[in-house]
Amino acid sequence: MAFVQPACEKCGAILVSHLFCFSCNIIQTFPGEINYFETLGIPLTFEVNSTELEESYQNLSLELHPDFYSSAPESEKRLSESATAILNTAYNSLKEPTSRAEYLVHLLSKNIKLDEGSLPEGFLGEMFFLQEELDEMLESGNDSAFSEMWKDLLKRQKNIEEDYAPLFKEYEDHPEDPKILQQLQTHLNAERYLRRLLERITANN
Amino acid sequence: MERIIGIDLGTTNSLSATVFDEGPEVIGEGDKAVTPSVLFHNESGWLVGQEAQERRISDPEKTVYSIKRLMGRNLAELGESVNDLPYQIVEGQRKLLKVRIGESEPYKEFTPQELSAEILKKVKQRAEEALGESVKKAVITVPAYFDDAQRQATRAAAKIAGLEVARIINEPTAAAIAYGLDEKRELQKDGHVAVYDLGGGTFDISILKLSGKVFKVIATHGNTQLGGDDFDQVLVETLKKRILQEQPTANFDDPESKQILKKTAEAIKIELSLSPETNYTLDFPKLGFSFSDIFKVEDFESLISTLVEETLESCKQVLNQAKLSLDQIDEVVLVGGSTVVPGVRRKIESFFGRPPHVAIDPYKVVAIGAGIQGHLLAGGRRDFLLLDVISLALGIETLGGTFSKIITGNTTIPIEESETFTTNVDNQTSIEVNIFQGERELIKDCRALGQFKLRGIPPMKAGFPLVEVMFRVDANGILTVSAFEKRSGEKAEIEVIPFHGLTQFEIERIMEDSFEHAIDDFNERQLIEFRLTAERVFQGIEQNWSVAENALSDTEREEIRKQMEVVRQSIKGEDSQELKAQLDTLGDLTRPLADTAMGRSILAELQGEVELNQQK
Repeated sequence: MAFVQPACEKCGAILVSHLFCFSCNIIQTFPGEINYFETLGIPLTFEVNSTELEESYQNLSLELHPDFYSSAPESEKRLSESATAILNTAYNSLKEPTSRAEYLVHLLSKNIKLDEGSLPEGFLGEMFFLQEELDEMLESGNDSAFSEMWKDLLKRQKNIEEDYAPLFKEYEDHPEDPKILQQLQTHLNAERYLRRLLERITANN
Repeated sequence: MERIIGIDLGTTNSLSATVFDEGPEVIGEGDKAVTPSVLFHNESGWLVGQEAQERRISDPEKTVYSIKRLMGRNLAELGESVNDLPYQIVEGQRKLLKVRIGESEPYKEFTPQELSAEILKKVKQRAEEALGESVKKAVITVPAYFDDAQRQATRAAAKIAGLEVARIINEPTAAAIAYGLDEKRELQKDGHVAVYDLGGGTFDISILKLSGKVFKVIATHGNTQLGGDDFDQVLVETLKKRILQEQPTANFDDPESKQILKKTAEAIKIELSLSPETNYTLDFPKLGFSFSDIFKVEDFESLISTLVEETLESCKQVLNQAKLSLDQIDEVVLVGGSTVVPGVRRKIESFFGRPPHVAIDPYKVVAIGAGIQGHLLAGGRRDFLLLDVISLALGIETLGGTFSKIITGNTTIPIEESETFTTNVDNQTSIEVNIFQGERELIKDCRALGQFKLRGIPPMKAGFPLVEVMFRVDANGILTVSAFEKRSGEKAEIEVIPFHGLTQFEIERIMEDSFEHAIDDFNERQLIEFRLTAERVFQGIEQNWSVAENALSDTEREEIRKQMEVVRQSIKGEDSQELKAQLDTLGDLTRPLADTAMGRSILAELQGEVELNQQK
């Protein structure tokens, strides 16, 4: 998975991130579609090196952040504000495995039609059961049952997350096979259900 | 470089700080550095700070405090806590809170924004006097858990006070900056820091990650209605119970008694931070009795233990949000006056399993951090960067009264997210969307921020228009919304109706009404003062000219005349510092004149006055 590196609008230097040119120190006005991996200047792959991601995010923040443009002309201020917003969105999408997987599937399935509602077999039934159990707990306010379910959900979530890396690896070896992306989509859909349940517990506790 | 000061606009006290040549420090010395956040209303306007503080018992209905608790809120949200306040609070149009002064019509009513503005004006004026220069911009701190409405209210207050807000930052984050950039290197360069901030009226807990130059807030949690005021309140309740045992018919509902109880509670709280027990006496002249007893620190600690436990519950939550365990917290920093209570400090230490940092005065640390951030924004340094978050999720109401998050809580700001909306019926040209902020799943449990109407949507079949709405949270944590219709490419009109807070129009009207506004500016105030001084100096010189004929040489007299002309020119100008410099020169030239017997009485005094003005 490779991508073409864009050049600086002003000096033409190859950009590490399409938001900022480290050679002439100017914020780019980012034309066209944005790819978050390009935004952060890291390789387009699921297995992101988290140290590299952190460093890149920090270095770019240190150049783009509105705090450093407080006395700049209004147009530069705005540019800094929106560039930082994009940087933050990119970083948020890539730092956690699930949102990173979600973003990659979205990026890689541009020309493929995926079934967006697919779920693992029997999953929906299990979820209905858990949902009902949670509703009952909310009514009775049983704290220990809450924490049991919490742990159970976290474990299920972790199991899904552990599958992302091997699936993306498989995709890299067989990029022509749409079944792998569909499988990833199914995982992501299941994860979203679990997350919603977890959120319900937090919101009510 | 234009100075940007830091202001900690607190529930009980407000103060400012800046970076001096020697380093960051609060502005003003001793008592002059701290302005109690208290206002007293008299015929000519507001007394602010210590002078107002002294009126709390004699004029409780006209003395306003704890305004921060009212900022960006409505009556229903304040709940019962308003009953403890001795001044009147009413709800005006759009549920805007107002403080009502006066026993009968015509009342005077003030919004919390206007009242906070009075405090900010005072802080600004004191900073100007101490620094000897005009102050126009400030970094103002707010509790991390302040929502959009509360932040907007703070910004409006600053605007009314004639201050440009360079940035609104979170109080715990400011404290972390102060510690992180401290000369003594209190904090390790890299690691996780927990900032426990318990002030007069608010509680915040934040987890920051320090790595190199970057201070990144990972998660925050808190309660904007819990603080040292509540410690006072439980003390007041206990005092009442004790008194009622002796005086069963006593009634404390009058404002004066409320204030006596509150002041005694504050005094007991402070005493018990220093000693294991304290004697206290309450005098109720109107009720015709007094009461004395002893308060033990154990009793106080058991009274506040539920409140402290509540803060520790927030600490657990914030660790969950940050996905960190207790042993991953490398340092703990304490902020806010209420953390000096030994019982509070002990509980924090045992919760985190390590002694907290207390090297920087917890009363000053927030202002100092804000001052450092101001220095950075003014361009004075770029050796650190603060990456702050929006604490509470922002979203909209969807079917069935559920809250649909658009920007999740603890997201680093600035941030932009968009959401696409469509129509339900054919040829519908407008859509109404309600905006909420909070972390719960139903909108009834979240804060309604406002409603926006999308207008001017081109008539199309239902479900056909695609209106993309952009939610933008700036570096101050403040939300703006914009929209456009994707199919036609037309910009949809958007009108946000805030449910709290003042509209732009209302802010401007208040500013116009403020009679002090004309001389709000430090430069202008100084110009007025120096112009008056110059006139008096001229008079003195003219009156003593006969003396000058004998005492001074022709050249000296010529120089004085020339300098008087220069001063006249400066009077016409707008630069107070220039006028001051020219007056100084004139003062030097006329000194021999002042030294003569006749001149001494008048001119010496005038020279003294010039010097006095310079010191201000």
